[in-house]
Amino acid sequence: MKEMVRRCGVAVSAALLMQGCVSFTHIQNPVEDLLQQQRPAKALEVLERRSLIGCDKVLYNLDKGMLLRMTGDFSASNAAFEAAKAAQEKVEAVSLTEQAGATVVNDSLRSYASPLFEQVMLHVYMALNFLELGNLDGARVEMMQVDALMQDKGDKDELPFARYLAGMVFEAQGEWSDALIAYRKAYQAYRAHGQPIPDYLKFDLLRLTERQGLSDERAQYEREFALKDWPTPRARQDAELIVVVSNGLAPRKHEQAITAQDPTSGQLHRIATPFYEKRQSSIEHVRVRVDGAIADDALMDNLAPHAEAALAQAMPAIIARAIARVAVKNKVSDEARQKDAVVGLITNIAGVLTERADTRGWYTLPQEILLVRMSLPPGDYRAALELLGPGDDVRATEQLKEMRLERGQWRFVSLHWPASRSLWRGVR
Amino acid sequence: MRHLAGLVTAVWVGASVLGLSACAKKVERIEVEEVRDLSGSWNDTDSRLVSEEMIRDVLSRPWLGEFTGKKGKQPAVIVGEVRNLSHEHISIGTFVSDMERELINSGRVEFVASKVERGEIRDERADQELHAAEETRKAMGQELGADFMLKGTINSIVDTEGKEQVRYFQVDLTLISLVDNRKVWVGQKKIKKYIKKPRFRL
Repeated sequence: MKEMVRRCGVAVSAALLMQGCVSFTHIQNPVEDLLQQQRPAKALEVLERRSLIGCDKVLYNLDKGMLLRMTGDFSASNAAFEAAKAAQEKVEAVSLTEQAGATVVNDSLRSYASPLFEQVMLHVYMALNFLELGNLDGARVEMMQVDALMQDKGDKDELPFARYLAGMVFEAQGEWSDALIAYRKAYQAYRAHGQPIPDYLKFDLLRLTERQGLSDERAQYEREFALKDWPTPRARQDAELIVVVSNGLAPRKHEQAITAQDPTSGQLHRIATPFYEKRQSSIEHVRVRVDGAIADDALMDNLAPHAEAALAQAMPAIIARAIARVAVKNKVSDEARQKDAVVGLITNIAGVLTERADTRGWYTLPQEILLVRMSLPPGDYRAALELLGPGDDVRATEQLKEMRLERGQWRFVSLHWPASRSLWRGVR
Repeated sequence: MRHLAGLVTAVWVGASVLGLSACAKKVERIEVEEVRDLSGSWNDTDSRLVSEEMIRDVLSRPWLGEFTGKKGKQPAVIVGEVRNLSHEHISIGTFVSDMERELINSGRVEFVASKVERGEIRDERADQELHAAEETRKAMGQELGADFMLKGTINSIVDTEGKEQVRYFQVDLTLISLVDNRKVWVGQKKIKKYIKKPRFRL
């Protein structure tokens, strides 16, 4: 009896221990709750209090970087993002021990490796940090890294906003040719994803093709966009104010599982896979007011389709590993049952309990990116950002820091509004 | 079952031991000159070798002899902006310092402090006007004006195929005469690195 209790204890302890890095999802829950309350500084405290598990180094640093930028510490944010980059490079090589663990226990024993869209967003937020710090060259480096990352990928893998941001970074430095190439890539990516082309991009393509003397291409855009006129800043006399709003929170993965009993052996089998919940931000639009002038936003990107596409791409391998696990766990509990029925039963239950979907993800990312651009004469400004709910009802107004805009300067300001609600009816 | 349980235990113990040993940090002092490429990124060796080679090149060209012959003095040089147009965050400060060191230590040109340094020195001089004894005070308007400015860019091209990557860096430097904007020297240095990332790890 004593031996049996000991074995039961070992099996249950193993089951609990082998939950692996799913535990990081539990760290993310309070962080997310605090973000919903618009309290990033407190969320950062909570994140930093938790002990870091090796296989979650990428995620930890991604979240840390994002929370730091939400609190306005852009340099520290970039240091955390750099750490995430370095960790990502390490986990890109397949770990033999982690693979073995994933085949025996569950997928969350593997180190978290960001899917492509998260890797691109990492560069996007690092670039936005550099822009906030007034370091255009730093932002340019990040955009070059996006280019290197996307080298052998198709238009469908592109994140249109990343290319659009690259276009602005190049244009801000007077690199017209590179800016036009980046705007073209953004345009192709919007088309490949079936997303509407934002008006800002239409104007940029028309303005730059005209500037570069590409009359055929400009005529093609004129026809396609049905535009005859477009705003042209007075030859770099004006300054450009760009406000980037990260709205809501990215969709979250949950677990869906099938549990069945083998009628002959009585053994329980379970397969668990992740799926994305949809979320809706409480804010639908934003607008900027500066000295009586008003500019409306454009939706530049929605991250939900990118996240869903990444999961769909990974799903065949997730399912294959889950099936392999069922076979391994089945074999273990079969062998145990032949020796001792109770231990066999407990081993089977432990196998079922440890079968968990890997629901980790970079959940401090926004749901969508909104952008407002304004050309303003040089001078001192106090701008206000209005956050609009359904029916353009003003939900909140954020006063931007007083700013001095110089002639020809491109001033980037980025803000987060994470409050959103889940559209999933499951239990959080 | 006993075999399988033993195997699982062995995997866990092995993984723990490997995990613990991986946590032990090891520090070892190495020579500054020693070349150790870890990531394939631009590093201290690249910065040092490129600056040494390019400054050696600029000092061996005809413009130096022509200037010295005509003016009867060494030219005064200042390092201007070197822009990082590559895909890596390169410490331009280190690169510029390496070049400045090579130029000054050559003893063949006068070297003028940078814009930021000049500002600080001017503040100090202004402070001396008020607070320093007359015999130790340094007068305004005695600065050495530069004759030439060294400017440049660092560019890169990355070519990736699966786990293999070639990184190509190109450093272009130009020496411009401040009198008439003439480019008296153009130098170029290229570095190519092949990186193969591991497919597997423990």
